[in-house]
Amino acid sequence: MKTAKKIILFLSLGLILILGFGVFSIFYFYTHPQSIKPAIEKVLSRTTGTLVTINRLSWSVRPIRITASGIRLKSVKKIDIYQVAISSLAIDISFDGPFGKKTMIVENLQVRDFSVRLSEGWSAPVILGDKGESSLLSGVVRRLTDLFIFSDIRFRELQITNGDLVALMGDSNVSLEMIQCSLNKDHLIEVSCKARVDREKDDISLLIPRIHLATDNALSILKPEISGGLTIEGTSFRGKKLNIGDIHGTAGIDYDFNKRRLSFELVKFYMENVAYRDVSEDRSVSYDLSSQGLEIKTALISNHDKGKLTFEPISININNGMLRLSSVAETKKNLFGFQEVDIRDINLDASIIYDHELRKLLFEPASLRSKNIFLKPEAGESLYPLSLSVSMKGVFYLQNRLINASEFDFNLEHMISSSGQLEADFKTQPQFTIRLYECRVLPEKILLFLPKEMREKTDPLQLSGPVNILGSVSVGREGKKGRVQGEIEARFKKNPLVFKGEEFDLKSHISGDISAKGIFPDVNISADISAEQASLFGKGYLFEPFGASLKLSGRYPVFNVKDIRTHIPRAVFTLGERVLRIDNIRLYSPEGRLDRTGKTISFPEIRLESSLMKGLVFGFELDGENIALQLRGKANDILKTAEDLDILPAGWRFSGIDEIDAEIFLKGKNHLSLAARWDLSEFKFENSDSSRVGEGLSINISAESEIDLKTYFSDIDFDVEASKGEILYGRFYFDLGVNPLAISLKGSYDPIKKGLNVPDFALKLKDLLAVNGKGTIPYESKDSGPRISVNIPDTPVKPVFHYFVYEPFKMEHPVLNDIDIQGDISAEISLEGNRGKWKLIGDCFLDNGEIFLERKGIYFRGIDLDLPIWYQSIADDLKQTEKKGMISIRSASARLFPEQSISVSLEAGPNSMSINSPTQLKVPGGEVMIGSIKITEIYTPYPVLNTNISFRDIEIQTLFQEFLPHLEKGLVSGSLDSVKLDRNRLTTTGQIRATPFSGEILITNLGASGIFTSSPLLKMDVQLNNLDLSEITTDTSFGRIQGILRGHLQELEIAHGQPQKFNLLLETVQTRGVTQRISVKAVDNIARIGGGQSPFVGLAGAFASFFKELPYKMIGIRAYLENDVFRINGTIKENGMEYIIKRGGFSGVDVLNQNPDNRISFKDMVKRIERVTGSEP
Amino acid sequence: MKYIKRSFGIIFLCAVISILACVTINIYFPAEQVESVAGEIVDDIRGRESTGDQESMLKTIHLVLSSNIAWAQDVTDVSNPTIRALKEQMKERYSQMKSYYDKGMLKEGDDGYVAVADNSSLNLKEKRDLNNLVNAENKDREILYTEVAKALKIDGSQISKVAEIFAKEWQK
Repeated sequence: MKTAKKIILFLSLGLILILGFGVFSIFYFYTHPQSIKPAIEKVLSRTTGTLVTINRLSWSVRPIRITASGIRLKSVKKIDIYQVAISSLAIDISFDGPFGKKTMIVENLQVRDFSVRLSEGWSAPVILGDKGESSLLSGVVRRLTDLFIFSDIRFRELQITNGDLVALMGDSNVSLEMIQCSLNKDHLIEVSCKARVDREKDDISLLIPRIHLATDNALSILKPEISGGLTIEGTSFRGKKLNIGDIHGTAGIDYDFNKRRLSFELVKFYMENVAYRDVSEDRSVSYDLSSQGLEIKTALISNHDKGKLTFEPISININNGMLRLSSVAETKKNLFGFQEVDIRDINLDASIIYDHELRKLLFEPASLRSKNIFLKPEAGESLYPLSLSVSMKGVFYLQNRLINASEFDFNLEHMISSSGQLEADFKTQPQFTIRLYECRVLPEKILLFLPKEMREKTDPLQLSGPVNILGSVSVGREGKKGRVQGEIEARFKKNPLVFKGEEFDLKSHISGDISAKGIFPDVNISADISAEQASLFGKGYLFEPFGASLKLSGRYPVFNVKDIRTHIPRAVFTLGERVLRIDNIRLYSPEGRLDRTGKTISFPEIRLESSLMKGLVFGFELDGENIALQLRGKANDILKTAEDLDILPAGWRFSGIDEIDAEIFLKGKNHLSLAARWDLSEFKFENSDSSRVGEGLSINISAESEIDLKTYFSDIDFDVEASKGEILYGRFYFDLGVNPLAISLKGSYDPIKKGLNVPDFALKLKDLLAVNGKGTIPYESKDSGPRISVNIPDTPVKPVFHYFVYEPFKMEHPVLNDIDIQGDISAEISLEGNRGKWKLIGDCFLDNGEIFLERKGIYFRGIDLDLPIWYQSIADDLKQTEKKGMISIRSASARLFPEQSISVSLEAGPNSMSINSPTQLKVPGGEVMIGSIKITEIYTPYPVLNTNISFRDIEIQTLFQEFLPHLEKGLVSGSLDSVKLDRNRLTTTGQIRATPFSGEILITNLGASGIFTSSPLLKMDVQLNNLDLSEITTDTSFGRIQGILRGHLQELEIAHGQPQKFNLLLETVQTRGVTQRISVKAVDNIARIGGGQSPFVGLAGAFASFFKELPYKMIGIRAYLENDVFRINGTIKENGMEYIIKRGGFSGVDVLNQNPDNRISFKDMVKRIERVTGSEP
Repeated sequence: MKYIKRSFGIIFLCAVISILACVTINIYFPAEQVESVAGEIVDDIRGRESTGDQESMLKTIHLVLSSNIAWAQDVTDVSNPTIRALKEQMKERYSQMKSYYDKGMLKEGDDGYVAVADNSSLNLKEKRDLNNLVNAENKDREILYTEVAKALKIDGSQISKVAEIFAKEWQK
C-alpha cells in the first residue's frame, strides 16, 4: 500500500470518527436535555471570558426554539466589575438553503428586561478564539459547520425590550434606560434608549431622552456589517460653565465587524441655547459663549484595530451664536486693551484623524472662520465687524499636549495675513512658537481697532501700506513670568504715512528694515528707517518734500541711534503778510543713545545748516527727570535770520559774526537754569537813513537765569559788554574802544507780585558816564506800572559836555566852541507810570561848576546846581508838592553885568519850572530886577517862558560907558511887564525909558525872533523926545548941531549887530530958549549922507568957509532901511522942493533932496557914515 | 501876399499867447527875480564869478517890456544883515563841504536842500560830522529862503518854490 493510500485511509477513518462523535453528541443532548444548559453556560463563559449562568433553559427542535431566563454574566476576575442580567430570552430558529450553504435564520429573538452594570475598570467582553490565525482543526470545524449546519445567520425578527445600562466611567455615571431593540419586517434593526451622564465632581449632567438607532441592512454573518442612522433628541447638558438647552442630531452609522471599524457619516448635531460662561476669579478674562443654535456636521471613523478615530471633515456652525470675551480685571492686557471681544457666526471646518495608539489628533486641515468679530473698547461701543480666518494643518499630540502645525494661515480682516508654522506646548506651561514664512500686516487697519485710549493717541497717525514680517516668535512662561523669544524682521517700503496734528500735517513715504532678536526684553533690535517725499505743513509754514533717515541698534533698554539725517530743500513760513523761505535745511546727528531703564536720552551733537542759520550745534541730554540742552555755534547768521523773520526793526541792516553758547538745564520738574553767551564780532547795524549806525562792534552778551518752575520765581543775571567799535546814534558818537560800554542787570521775577524786581542795574561808558538803577516792573498790572530809580554818581561834566553837547551841536551852534565847562554832574531820577502815563521826577546836580565863554566875556564860577526835573506825559489833577531845587553861582560876570553872585530857588512842577522869587541882577549903574519866571512845556522843543523885567534908575552914563562914552547923564528905567518867550520868539509889553541928552527915549515893543537859531533878530520901536542935539553932537566928528530933536525909530530890526530894517524920522522942533544952529561940517555931513556929495563945492564952499555955524529953521530927515536899501528923504517940502535942512531967515543954508527916490545901498550908506564920522579906515 | 498875411497872423497869435503866459506866471510868483537872486547868492557863497550878467540883462529887458508885472518897480538887490551873515556862515561852511562835494558824498536835492549821497568811505565820526554839517547847512538855507521870500514879498506858503529855484543854482 502506497503511502498516499494510507493517508487517505486514515483521514477517512478520522472523518467517520468525527461525524460519529457529532452524531453521538447530538443524540446525547437530545436524549439528555438537562446536560445542555451547563454546557452552554460553559461555552459562553469560555467564549466571553465571563461567568455565565442561566437559570432556566429550554428548547424544542421542531420548530427550533430556545428559551432561557435568569441569564447573568459576571466578570471572572472581579465579580462586581460588570454584571449583565437578562430576565428572559427566547429565540426561534430555522434553516434555509441547500446543503452546504445553509443559512440559520433567527425567526424571532426576544430579550426582555435586561440590565447591565459596569463598574470602574470594566472592559467589554472579548469573544475568544479570534486571536491569531485559526488552527487547522478549528478551520475544519468551521468548514464542516458551514457545510453541514449553516454558513450564514440572518435575523428575521428581534425584540429587546426594557433594558437598562449603568456604567461608572471614571468620575462619571452613565446610564442607559428604556433600551429597546427590534428587528422590523425589513430585517432592519431599531434601537432606542434614554441616556444620562452625571459627573458629580464637576456638577455636570447630560440627559439624552431619546437615542434612536435604525439600521438600513440586515445583520449577516457573511457580511458582518451594520449600517444605519442614529438620532438623538431633546438632549440637555448642564455644567458649571457650559449649558446646552437642546441637542438633537442624526448620523449615519456603519460598523464593519471584520474591520472593527465604526464610522459615522453625515453626522449632524444641532445644539440650541448653548451657553458657556467662565468667570473664574483667577482669570482676567471671562468667556461667555451663547448661541441659539450650534450645528456640527462631520463624518467620523473609528478604526478599533488601528486605534484611530477619524473626523473628516468636521464643520461647526454657530448660528446667532456669540463668544464673548470680557475683561473682568482692572487691567485689560489680556484682551489687548479691549473691554469685550464678541465673536459671532463661528464656523469650524476640520478634517481630524484621531490616532488612539499614538494618542494624537491629525487635523489636515482645520479651519475656523468668523465674519463677525466685534472689538469693544468700551462697553456699548462697537466697531464694525471683522472677519477672521484661521486654518491649520498638523498634529495634536494629546499625551504630550503638544500641537505641531506644519502649516497655518491666519487672516484677520485684511489686516493681518500670515502663514507659517506653529508649535504649541501645553504640557506644563503653555508655550507657543510661531514661524512666519509670510506675514503681511496693514497697520492702518490695525490702528482702527486699538482701544479708545490708544486710538485717541494714534488717531492723528495713519500708516498705510503693508508691513512684511518674517521670523519666529516663541511665547511662553518661565515660572510665573512670561517669556517671549524670537527673531523677526519687519520690512516696509515707501509706505504712506500721514500724521495730522492739531496744527500741522505730516505726509511721507517711509521705508524701513527692522529686525529683532533675543528674549524679551533683552532683544537686539536694529532698524534702518528712511522717509521720502515727506511734507510738513501747518498754519504759517510749509516744508516742501524732504527726506530723512536714521539707523537704530541695540538691545532693550539701550539703543544707539546713528546717522540721523534730514534734508529739507525748502521751508516756507508765512509771517503776517511776509513770506519767508529757508532753503537747504539740513539736520544731522552722528549718534545718539536711548536708555529706557536709565531713562536717559542723549544726542550730544545735532547739526543744523540752512540758508539762514548755519553751523548751529545742539546737544540734548535727558537723564531721568533732568534735561540738559546745549546750543553752540559760530557764524550762525542769526542776525540774518532775525532780519528775515522781521524780528529786527524794519529798514535796519545788521551784519556780524555771531557765536553762541547756551545751556539750558531742567532739573526735575521744578528747576530750570539757563546760561547763555552770545558774542558778536565785526557787528554792524544801520537804520534806513543812516542816523543810527554801528560799525566794527564787538559785543558780548551773557545771561544766566534760575527759574523755579513750581512757583515761576526766577533770578536773572544779564550782562552786555561792548569794548570795540563805533556807534553813531543821531548826533551822538561813541568810540567804544575809548569808552567801552558795559550793561549789567540783576533781577528776579516774583510770580506773586507778578513783577520783575531789578535791585541792581548798571550802564557804564568808561571814563564818560555811569548810570546805576533799580526798580520794579509789574507784569500786566492795570493798577501799577514800572517804578525805576536811576542814579548817576559824581561824574566830571567836561567829557559829558563834550560828547553829548559840544560834538553833536557845534556845527549848528558855533557858540559852543567858546564854552568851557568844569565841575561834576550827578543825578537821581525816578520813573514811574503805566499805560502811557509816565512821570519822571528827580534832580540833576552840578557841583563846583564853572562855565566860561571867554571870547564873549562871560564867566560863571562856583556853580552849585540842584536842577529839579518833573516830566509827566499826561497831566493829572492831583495836588502835588513842587520839587525844590536851587542854583547858586558864586561869581557871575558878563558884558553889562559886573561880577556878582547869584542864588536862586528853583521849583519844578509837571513839565514846568519856575523861579518864584524875583532875581536881582547888577548892571553897570544900577540893577535889573527879573520877576518870577515860569517855564512851561519845558520838555517840548519849544518851551514857553513868562516873566517880567524892571529897570530901576540905572545910570545911563555908567551903563553905556563902553559904547557911548560921551553920555553924561540920564537914567534908564521902566518895566517890561510881560516878557514871553515862545517858539523862539520873544515878545514884551511895557516900555523902557531912558533920559539921555536932556530928553527922553522910549523903547516899546521890544522883542526878538529866531533866538536859538544862527540868526536871531532883535526888534523894537523907539520914540525920541526932546533930545538936545547940542549934547549929542558936541565934540563929535559929525559936527555940532544945536536944537531939540524929536522923532522915532519904528520897526527897528537888528540882526547880527546891524540894523536890518527901520523907519526913521528925525525932526528938529523949535523950542523957546533953544538956539537952532548947525555947524558947516554938520551941514556938509548931512548933505553927504543924504545926497552923497558935499554942498560946499565951488562958490558955496568958498562962501561957507567964512562961517562956522549957520542958523537953520528945521532939520527933517526920514529914512527907511529895508532889504539893504537905504532910502533917505527930507521931511520939509516947500514950493515943490524937498528940504533936509531949511535955513533960518536969510542966512543959513538949505539942503535940498533933489532925488525924491533917493536910494542907496546899505553898504554905501555905511561908507558915507563912516566917511562923515571919520571912522573910515 | 497871402504868405505875408499868414505869417503875420501866426506872429500875432504867438505874441498874444506869450503876453497871456507872462501875465499868468508873474502875477503869482516872481520866478525870474528869485532865479536872479539865487544865482547871486549861490555864486557868492560858492565863490563863483557871476555868469548870469547877460542873462540878467535879458531878464531885465523882458521885465521892463512886461507891463503887467506888478512888482517891477521894486527891483533891488536882495540882502540884509541876516542874509549877509548867513552867506558868510555858508561860505565858511562851504569850504568844509567842498571836499565832500568833490568826492560825491553830498548831493543837492531838487528841494533846495543838501543831502548825504554816499558816505560809505567815512568812519562814523566823520559821518556824524558830515551829517551835522548838512543839518547846519540846511537850517541856514531854510532861514535864507525865508529871508529871500520876505525880501521879495513872497508869501510864506511859497517858500518851497523859492527853495526849488535855489536848488537849480546849488546843483550847478
